[in-house]
Amino acid sequence: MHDVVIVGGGMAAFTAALYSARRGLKVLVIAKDIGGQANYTDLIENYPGITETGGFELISSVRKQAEHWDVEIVNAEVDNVKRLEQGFVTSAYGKQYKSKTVILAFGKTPQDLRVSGEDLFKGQGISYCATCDAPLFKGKTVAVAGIGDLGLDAILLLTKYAKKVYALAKGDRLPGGHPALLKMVMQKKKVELVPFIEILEIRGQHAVEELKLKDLKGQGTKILKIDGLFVELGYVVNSEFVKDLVDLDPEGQVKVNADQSTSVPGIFAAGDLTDRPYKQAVISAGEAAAAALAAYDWIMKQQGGAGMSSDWTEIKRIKK
Amino acid sequence: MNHHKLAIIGSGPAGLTAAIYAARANLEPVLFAGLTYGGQLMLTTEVENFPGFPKGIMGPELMQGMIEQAERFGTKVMYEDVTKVDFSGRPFKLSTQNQEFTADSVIIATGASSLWLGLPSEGKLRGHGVSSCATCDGAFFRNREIIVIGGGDAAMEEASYLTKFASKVTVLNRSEVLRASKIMQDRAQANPKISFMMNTVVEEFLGTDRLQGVKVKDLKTGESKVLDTVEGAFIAIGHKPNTDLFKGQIELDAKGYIVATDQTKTSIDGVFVGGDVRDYRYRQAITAAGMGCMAALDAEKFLHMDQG
Repeated sequence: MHDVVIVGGGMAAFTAALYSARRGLKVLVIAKDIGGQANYTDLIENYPGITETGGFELISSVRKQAEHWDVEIVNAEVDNVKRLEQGFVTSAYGKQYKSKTVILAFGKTPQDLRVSGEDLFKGQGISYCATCDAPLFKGKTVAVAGIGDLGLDAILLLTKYAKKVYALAKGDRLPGGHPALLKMVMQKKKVELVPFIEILEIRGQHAVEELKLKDLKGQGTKILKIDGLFVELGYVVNSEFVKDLVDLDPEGQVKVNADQSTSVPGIFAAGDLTDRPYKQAVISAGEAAAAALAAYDWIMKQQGGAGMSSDWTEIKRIKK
Repeated sequence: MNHHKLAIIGSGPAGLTAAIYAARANLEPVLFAGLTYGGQLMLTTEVENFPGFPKGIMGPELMQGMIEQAERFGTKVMYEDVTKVDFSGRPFKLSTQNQEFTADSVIIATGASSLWLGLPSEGKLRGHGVSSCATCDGAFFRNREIIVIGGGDAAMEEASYLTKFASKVTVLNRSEVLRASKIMQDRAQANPKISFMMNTVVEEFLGTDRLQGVKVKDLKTGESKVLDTVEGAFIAIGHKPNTDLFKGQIELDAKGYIVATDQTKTSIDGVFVGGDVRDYRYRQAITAAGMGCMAALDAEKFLHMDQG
C-alpha cells in the first residue's frame, strides 16, 4: 500500500513526487511517457531561476531531484482508478496498485487522428511531435495532418530535413494559422498541398508506408506513398479513464478546488489537466507542490491527526 | 513620467516570476524590490525543493538568477521600498521615499515574514541550524537532535514531521500549557521521539558558523542550562503577512492576508495578488512562483481588455 499514487510523468507529476517524498510519504509514480508535454518544447526561458533549458532537460532534472528520495517509478499506462472503502486502486497494464491518495497529473496529450492503423504505427512512422522527431526523417518523404500554426510550424521544420512534405487538407487550403506563416510555408519548394482529401487508413508492413486517402471532391480513393506521418492537431486532456470518478468540465479537464482537491476526497489534481485557465510549467509545479502537501494533510487527518496546520485554522479556532 | 502599465510590489519568487512573464509579454513592468530584496529565500542557505535544481541551490543565488532573468526581458527593478499606495482611482498611485509612480495595474507580492524570537544569536545562525521552515529544512537534520520552539498546532505539526529525520525532538514552550489543539498534542506526546520542556525559553543559540547547542532558561526556577547536543532549532511561533501598506486600500482577512478570488483577483479591479501574502497554507517558493505567474497572466489579460 502506497501513501500516494501519482498518475503522470511531467512537471506536475515529478514535483508532486518530490514534495510527497520529502514529506516522508511512500510514493509511486505511474507514467506512460516520461517528460509529458514539455518534451515538445525546445527552449524554455521563462522558468524562474533557469535562464535557458529544454523541456526534456527540465523534466529530467525534476525527476532526478525526486529520485533522491524514496520514489518508485513504473512505466505504464493507467486505465482505471477505483475508489475502495479505504483508499484507492489504480490499474495499469493489468497490475493493481493500492494507495491512500491519488494525485492526477497526466497533463495534456496530443490529439489522435482516430483512423485505422494509427495505434499500430505510433512511433513507427507516425509522430505527434515534429520538434522531437523531424531530424529522424532526413531525406525522406513525409505527410503532415495538422491545423493552425501547429501544423504550419511542423511543415516548416520538416522542410529542413525531409526531401518532400505533403500538406494534407480537407478543403482547398491548410486550415487556420497565421496568413503570413501560411504564405511562407506554401512558397517552400518541398511542400506540396494535397487538397480535398481525408485519411482513411494508415498502412505498412512494420512501419508506415502509405496512406489511403478518400477523395472528397471527386470519387473513390487514392494512395499516397510516404515514410512518415506527422499529426499536429493540438492537445487534449485524456481523462476518459476517470470520467466516472471525478467531476470534469465539458472539455474533459479535472475540476479542482483552491487546495487542489477534486470532487472525490483523497484525489488531488495538478497541472495542465485542471480546469484552471493557465498552462505553464511553473504553475504546474506550484500546483503539484500544493497537491502533495494537501495529500499529506489528508492522510494525517484520516489517521486522526489535525493535519497540516496553518495560521488560518488557528484563527478559526480562536474565534470560536 | 513615471507611468507604467504594470507595477509589481515585492521581489520574492512570486514577484519575480510575475516580472519574468509580464516582461516577456512586453508589459515593461516596474518591480519594487525593496531595500532588502529577494524575499524569504535570502534568509535560507541551501534550497533543495525548488523543482529543477537536483543538486540544490543557495537561496540568494536562486533569487539573484530570477532578478537577472526578469531584467533581461525588460523589467525595471527599483531597489526602493514602496511607502504608500493609493488604489482609490485609476491610474493607481505608488510612492517610494523619493519618487511617485502611476500604473494601470498592480501585482502585490509582498510575501509574509516568519515571526522570530529576536535574539542576536538567532540572526547570526539563521540558515545555519536555525530555521523557521520545517518543510524546507527538516531533511538536513537526519539523525540529529533538534528543538522546536512554540506551542501551537504549527509547532506540534513541525515536531511530528521532524521526527521523520531527527533522532530526537524537544519542544520548548514558554508557558505551562500548550496552545495546540488536543488532538495535535496527543499525537506529539505519543511520539517516542518527542519530549517537552515547558516554561522554557531560549536565551542564546550557541555556535559560530553553525548551531552547536542552545542555552535555555526555566522560567519557573530561573535556572539556565545548555542543551549541548542540539544541532537544529525550528522556530514555529507563526507568520505575518506583509500587508501594512494595503490596510484600508484593499480587502484583508482577519489575520491580515489579502483576500483573493479566482486565484489572483483582489477586491480592486486591476490589482492582482500572488504568493505568501495570500497563501497562509503552503508557503513554498514554487507555489509562490506559480501564483506569481498566474497574476502576470491575469494582469496581461486585464490590460488587454482594458486598453483594447
